Amino acid sequence: MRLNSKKRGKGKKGISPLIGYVLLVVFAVVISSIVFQWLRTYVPAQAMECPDGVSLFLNNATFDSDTKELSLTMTNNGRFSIDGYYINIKNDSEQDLAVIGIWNYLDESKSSPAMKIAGSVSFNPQDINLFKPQDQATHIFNIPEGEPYSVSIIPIRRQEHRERERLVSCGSARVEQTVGEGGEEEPPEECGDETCDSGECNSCPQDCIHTDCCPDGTCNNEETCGETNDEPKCNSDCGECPIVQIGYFGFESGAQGWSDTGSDSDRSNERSKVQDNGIEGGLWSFHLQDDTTSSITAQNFDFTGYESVTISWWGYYSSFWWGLGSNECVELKINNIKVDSWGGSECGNHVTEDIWLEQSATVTSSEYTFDDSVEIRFEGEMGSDWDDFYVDGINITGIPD
Amino acid sequence: MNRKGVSPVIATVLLIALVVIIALIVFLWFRSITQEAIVKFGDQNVELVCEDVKFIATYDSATGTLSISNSGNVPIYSMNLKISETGKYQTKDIKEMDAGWPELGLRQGGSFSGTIEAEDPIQITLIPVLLGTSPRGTEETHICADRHGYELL
Repeated sequence: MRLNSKKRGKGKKGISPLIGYVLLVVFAVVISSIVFQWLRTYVPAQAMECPDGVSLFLNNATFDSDTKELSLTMTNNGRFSIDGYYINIKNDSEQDLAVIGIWNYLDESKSSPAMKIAGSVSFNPQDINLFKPQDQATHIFNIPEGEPYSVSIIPIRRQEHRERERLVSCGSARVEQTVGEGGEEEPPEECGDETCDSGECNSCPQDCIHTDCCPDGTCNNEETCGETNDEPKCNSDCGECPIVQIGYFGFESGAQGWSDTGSDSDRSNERSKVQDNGIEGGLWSFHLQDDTTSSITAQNFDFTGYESVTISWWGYYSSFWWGLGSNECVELKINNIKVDSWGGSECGNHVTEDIWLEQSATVTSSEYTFDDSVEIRFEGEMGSDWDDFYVDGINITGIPD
Repeated sequence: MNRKGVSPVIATVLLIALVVIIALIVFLWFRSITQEAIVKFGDQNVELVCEDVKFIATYDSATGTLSISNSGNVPIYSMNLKISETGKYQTKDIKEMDAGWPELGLRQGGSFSGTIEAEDPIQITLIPVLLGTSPRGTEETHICADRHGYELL
């Protein structure tokens, strides 16, 4: 009987269950290790990033055309030490971006401790992050040709990242400043020489800005602005200038009446475009983030008797991680009615991030009720605390009826 | 009637061999239709690194001057330009368009300014191209997804 059943193959055992288990386990291990190798690269790791409070302030930037020396005085006005910076200049006001690298023109002998290091300038390469908060330094660059119009600086830090020391660029702390003339004390800015043909008068002090128009209410490129900083005589030059300045806010002396509504709005010294008198520089601006009930700053004004009101300001849009989303906007509202919006591609105006932008909107008494308490409001409609909007130099002017 | 046929051991071995061969064929076919996992910064998939690319760019349509400044921490090896013109659409590599683009790309803090040829462009989108390492150890370029693009116009 046994022989018969063997003949039919019924008595054969085949592979033992033990070997079957071993094979099964080996297959599972091999397949899972293949899948692991493939998927592990997709596990996100923490990106290299600068802390939020890194800030470098350019106190002074002057160029002496005789010696061809560009002198920069800077202060660490942030909360973290800095290792150095990337530096670029532009030679022309028409250029949008400073792209001429000048790190290799650093005059190490004339600069307070500084050294050229592969595309950047280090405050002290012997140790890491030696430029501490409140430290001040002056660096000299020998520019071989051309005259710099403005200088752009991105601070850098050396940080530990995944057990290695790396150089981290702090792009969100980038600063740009117009270069003045060096060699002697800067003369007062001439206003009277400039015509109103290209908005150049905006660099003049506040007293002159509202005269960038002629008595008939339109700018026909013929009028001059007036005299100098010290003696603004714009009104007399322009006669009965129809444009009246209602208010100007550089936030240097405080919030200046603009509401601080909570954790997502504050007067900030992260960056500044202008001082209270409209001249470039300063330390403070007003900051909004996120999209909450506190992502708002507003103030009421008396618009009685005005036919139209123009609100202009410097805006800085910055998103720390992925850039502003398409529908992340900052809205300007009059009496809680949206006038326009700025931000991502789906907003009324698509903006470039990480630079100061000159923006404006004009409203008329036929569109909105102009009484003695008209609320002007900037409202954040952004995605998170990482999305920031800074406003500075809010200038409100009106044309009377 | 007395024939034994294939023994169970041989049958099992054959079965396993067939499964392994078929699995190998499927794996090789699947690998050819999926992208290689190019990595950067050690073991980061380059697709994830694209999320961290940050740059500022401007375009002067009067002079055709394109300026780019790398404000982030990821070196940009090259840049693909998607240019929409009236009635046509083209994608170009900036390395082929302007000789001034740095050979090794824009490092941290690096900047570029050059002229690009485009006839009355309606829209220009800049898409970063990164350099990574393939599983074979060779350097490979990776074009970031369109969502990482920067619209100039």
